[in-house]
Amino acid sequence: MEYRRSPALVNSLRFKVLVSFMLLTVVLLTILNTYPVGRMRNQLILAREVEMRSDFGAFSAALESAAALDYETAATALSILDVGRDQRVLVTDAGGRVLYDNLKTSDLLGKTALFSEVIEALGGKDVFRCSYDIDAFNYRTACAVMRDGAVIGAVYAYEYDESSADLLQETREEILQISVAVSAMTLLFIITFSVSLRRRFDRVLEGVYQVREGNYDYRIDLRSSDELGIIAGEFDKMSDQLAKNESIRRQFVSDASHELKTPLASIKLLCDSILQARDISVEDVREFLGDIREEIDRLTRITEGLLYISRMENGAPMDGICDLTHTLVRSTDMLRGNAAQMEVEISYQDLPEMAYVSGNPDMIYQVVFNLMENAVKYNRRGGHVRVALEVRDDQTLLHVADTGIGIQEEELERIFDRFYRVDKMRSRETRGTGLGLSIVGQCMEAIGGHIEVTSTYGEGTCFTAYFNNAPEEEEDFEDYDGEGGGTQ
Amino acid sequence: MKRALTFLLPVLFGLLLVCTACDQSGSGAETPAHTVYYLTESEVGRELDYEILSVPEGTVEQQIRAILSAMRKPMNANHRTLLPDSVEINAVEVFGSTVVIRFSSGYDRLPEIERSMLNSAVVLSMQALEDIGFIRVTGERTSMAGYMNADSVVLEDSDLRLTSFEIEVYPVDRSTGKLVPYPLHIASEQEVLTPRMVLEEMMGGILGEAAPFDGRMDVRNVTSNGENSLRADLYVPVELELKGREADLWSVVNSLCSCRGVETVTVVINGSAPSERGLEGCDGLLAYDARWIG
Repeated sequence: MEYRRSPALVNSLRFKVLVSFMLLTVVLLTILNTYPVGRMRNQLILAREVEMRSDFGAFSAALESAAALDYETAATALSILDVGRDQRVLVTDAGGRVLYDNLKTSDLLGKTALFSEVIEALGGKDVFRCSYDIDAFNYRTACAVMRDGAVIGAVYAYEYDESSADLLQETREEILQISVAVSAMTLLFIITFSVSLRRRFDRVLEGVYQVREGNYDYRIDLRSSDELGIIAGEFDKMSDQLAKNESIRRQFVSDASHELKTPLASIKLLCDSILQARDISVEDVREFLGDIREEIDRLTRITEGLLYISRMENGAPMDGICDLTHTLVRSTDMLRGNAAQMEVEISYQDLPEMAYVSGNPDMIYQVVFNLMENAVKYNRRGGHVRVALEVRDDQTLLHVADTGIGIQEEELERIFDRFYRVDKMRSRETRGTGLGLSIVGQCMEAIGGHIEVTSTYGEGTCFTAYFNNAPEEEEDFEDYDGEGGGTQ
Repeated sequence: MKRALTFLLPVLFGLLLVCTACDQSGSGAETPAHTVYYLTESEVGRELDYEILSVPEGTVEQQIRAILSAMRKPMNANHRTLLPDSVEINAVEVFGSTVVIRFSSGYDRLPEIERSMLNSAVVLSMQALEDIGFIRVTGERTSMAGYMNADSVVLEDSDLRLTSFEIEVYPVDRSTGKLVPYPLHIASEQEVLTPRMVLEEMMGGILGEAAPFDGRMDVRNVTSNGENSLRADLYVPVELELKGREADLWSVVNSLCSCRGVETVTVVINGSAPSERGLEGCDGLLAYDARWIG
């Protein structure tokens, strides 16, 4: 798979971000440029409608109560009411003939004005209309003049309002200017953001590419606290872990190869000795075959240990409940022969009747057995192994202390590594595989506990395993009733 | 020869057809298009609208009857006739350029606005007919007031635009002899307020008969020493004594100086300098003088 540093523009994330931002900006600015102006225009119209309907309704009412509908009456009423200063005001008779016009130089007097508003007013219906263009509002209103239930005329008013239109236009232009400025700033911000985003993505991609190619030492080192910075930080940690895992894997392969090679080499040597000796006695052959069998047993223990670790790593069941006291007693029974051979005394302290802990019983047995077996094996002749259980509120602690060779402080950190042995010579004598404590550590981690170790070199070692207590309502438990011991 | 005839015969036949068609169209008896008015109703309300129709040639009376007949049957589905069947044509009388159309009593029974719209539609529809100056429409009992022509009907209000101006003028307070500020409101079809409009408005309103000037005037823009100046020609009856009435003259000067761009005013009374009529200190270029404001 090829790593492409620059994807096609339309497929790139920055392009999508850019387009999304721009679309959002366009939508917002469109709304900003239409809605407020539209609302303001409607408000202006509404305010004018109220005013004109009120003014000319009053004027119409004044004419209705006058003795006659003529020029003088209309002029007097208009002057008294002080309306129509900004409007062209006409008064017509019932046929639409203009009786009054407030423009002194009017040429409409006597003519028939058949505007739609006048026609409607003469039909008995008051009307207000407004049309708007960019130059002005055109307000028109017409009211019927009634007398004795009959229409005797109409009042018509027309206003050409440029000032409101100018105000609206100025507002529109100001909003437009603000919009242009905001658009420019937004665009600048988006471009800057997009360029920055691209650079940072490129760095992350470069890291992915390098790790994919096996360069686990490559670090993105993106100093930022945003999501991309967090991703880069986590990626760097992942690279660290990968590098560490890779190192462990290589060490493991090397160790496992070495551990498997040694017994195989012994077997080969013993077989060669039998084959090459001409006058070998039956007793010697039997002795060599016995040694070969021991090496095969050793190979078997190593492969069983590795298989056990592999099973755990591949997700062996961790759940379950186990009686730790019962497991401890059974492990002791299993090791009683070895202990007697080593003249090692195993003693209990504060052992409760039952101590239920959470975890797969098989794993817990492995932990208990391996710890006790190590305590016996690496003890001095005539030494002691003291086992104690300490039940706390939510945990049960297993203490296994021996009076053995002890471990030097600088080695304590590595005793849970696979194939690590403190005393390699003695380990061989005791048929150790170097996997026992590794299995203990992994089992404890798998069942949610942990293990601590303290040691005084030359005096002895004490392991403390922390088990989580089983929930009290859990009754369905399974004790390990295994045979044959754990993995050393 | 035979080939030539084969080619020419279709051509000649085609020409014959074209000539025949031309002859037929030339013998038509219809006049150019007329606008015939109807009523239309839309979201803006009811109003008059027209259709363009051809009217057969003939006498004026025949053409009028043809138009009236067309008025009963609008072609456009959105149009409605203003001349219902109940209104019959009793007579069409032509007197020179004046036409009197007499309708039956159905006309008298129409509501007044309907009758007015019918009158207007008739008048507007007849305007394209030559030789017709005025039209009068009557019923059996009612008739329109006077005679109408196309100018008598206004359908559009777009020319009614009025511009309002507010300006401060200075009439004389007769009790103190001083000038008092007065906000004058002027409504005009013009978009720019001119000094002449201000002076006319003052003469016709707040100054009225109190001023010595008789209403005739002439206001012109002049430029004097780079300043925008006015020359105001006023007329005062010769027999009227002006001595001591400087306030009336300063009323005009200060008011005109309120107009935009006017800096000075030269007043001429009956073609002479004011001093010749006894008005002291009023000759030549006069600027706004706050000392006269009371």
